[in-house]
Amino acid sequence: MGVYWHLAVKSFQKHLAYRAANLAGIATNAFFGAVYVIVYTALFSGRSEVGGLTLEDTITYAILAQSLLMVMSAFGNRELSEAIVKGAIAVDLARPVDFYLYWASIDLGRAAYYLVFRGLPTFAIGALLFGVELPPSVGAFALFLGALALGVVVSFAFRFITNSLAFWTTDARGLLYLTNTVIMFFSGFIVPLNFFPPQLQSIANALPFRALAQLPINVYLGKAALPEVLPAVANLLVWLVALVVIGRVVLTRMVRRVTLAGG
Amino acid sequence: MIEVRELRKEFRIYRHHRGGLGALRNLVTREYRSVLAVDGITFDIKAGELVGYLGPNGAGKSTTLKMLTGILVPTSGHLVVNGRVPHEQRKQHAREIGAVFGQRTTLWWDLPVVESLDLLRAIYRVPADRYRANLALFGDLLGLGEFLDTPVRSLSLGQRMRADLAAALLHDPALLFLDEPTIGLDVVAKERIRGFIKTVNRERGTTVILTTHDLGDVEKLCERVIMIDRGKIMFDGALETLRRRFGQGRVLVVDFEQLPDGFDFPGAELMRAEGNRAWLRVAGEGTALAPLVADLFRQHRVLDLSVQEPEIEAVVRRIYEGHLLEA
Repeated sequence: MGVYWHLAVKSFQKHLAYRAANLAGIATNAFFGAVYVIVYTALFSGRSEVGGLTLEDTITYAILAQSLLMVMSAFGNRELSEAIVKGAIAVDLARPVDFYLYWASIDLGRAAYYLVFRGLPTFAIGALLFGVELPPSVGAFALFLGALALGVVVSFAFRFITNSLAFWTTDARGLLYLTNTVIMFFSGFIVPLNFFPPQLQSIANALPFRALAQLPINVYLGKAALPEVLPAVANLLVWLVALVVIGRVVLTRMVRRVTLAGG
Repeated sequence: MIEVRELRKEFRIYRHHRGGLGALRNLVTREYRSVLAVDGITFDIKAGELVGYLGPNGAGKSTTLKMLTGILVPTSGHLVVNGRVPHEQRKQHAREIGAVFGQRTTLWWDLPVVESLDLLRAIYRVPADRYRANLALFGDLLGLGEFLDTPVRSLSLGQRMRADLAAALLHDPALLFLDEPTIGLDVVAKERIRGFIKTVNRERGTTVILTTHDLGDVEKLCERVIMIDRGKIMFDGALETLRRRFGQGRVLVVDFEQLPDGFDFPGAELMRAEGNRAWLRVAGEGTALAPLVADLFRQHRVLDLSVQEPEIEAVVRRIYEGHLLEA
């Protein structure tokens, strides 16, 4: 286990190297947060509630969503597919580690970095400028943290599969752009899923992507307490198992291909 | 240490059709042709040897190395490294070998060198005292100290290669694979790396297999050379034997007081003459030089004389070119 912990820590450290880029990122996230707040304030005029959310709820939602974007890697992350295209997989195969867990640890380190150095500052700026709601209880906050962890893992398991397809397509960018659009939409990062028409909401609820934004943010806002959250979590755990199994199958095929055909 | 018998590796190259319609055909058809990258090679390498594995580009060097490291599965043949079939016990095998691929680094690009080494310590579960001892030793031999805290992306190529070498040896592997470890380096950096490889081989008994296009590496390091071309072994033996067998013999460079008109020396042949200087090729390996030189001095007034051994560079060039002519 020590190896994977080490990997996560090194991955965290690695991201520390890009301070200027992160500052620019915080500014961008804060700016888009502000845009959302302005738009929502205009749209909410004369209405106290939309889809079960008040204006204050929605502002908090928007700021939290901006804070979590990079934690959840909502824009995708091509680190793995680039490593595959450049042939690093051959070197990594010659290491006494589990390739899947190797990349999972690296991604967890990345998520932890973005939580501390992107999410928290963005949230703090949003809170200072517009004011945010706090979770209704310590229990809700603890549940929120759990939901975040689930989201990070689901996000990784999904991206491992799409990134691995780089191996067969020589350039995975097209596919990654497409899947990222789907993720952004059905995760609730662009617009809260609460605002969706019922049919679209049931589609979104069947998919795994709400684990990235909708679920943790609604838990934070106290819109989803434990009894409502449990079925959602059960559904997501089933997804998670499926994604990990598919990811491992893809990996096995990739290894077979590398070892037989030389990549 | 390494036992290779009739090892073969065949690749399937899928046929690519050009153009828009071709792209469609690529999707539906599965035409391929087979390429034999390694075609029945056999050799043994004993523990502690330092072997140069040579051959022109595309000869099958990297394919062989990848089979030895367990990355590639052989198509047929027998392969045992360190008592294991590499691809069948890939992870276990990986613990006992080290590899440096000169063209690519295995270090983390954005992290200081020492962080990457620390990570490898965890990956290979190197005991703390071995790690400290190795770090100190490599620090001395490779001068790692100067750039241990520098991110890999800011290193010069020579520094990066030194760091990669240290990384490959951190877990005390019994066997070290080096794929072009001096590629792109200046003379000083090359010397430093060669010295290090030699020291590791001699003092720790690490078995080293080295592919290179730099014949300086071979001359400085390798007592034994295996030369491969088009998947087959062309030569396996001592560097000296290679020089003798494929070299065009030694050359006598003679400065005469007055260049003689006609030469007739048994065992020597005039290659060219310039002013009063003549280049004589000594045919055959068996020809003793002393009587020849004695004859020369007896019959002519000789001012100066020197012997040129065939350069390994020229020897290898001849073999490679021979391949091109045949092909």
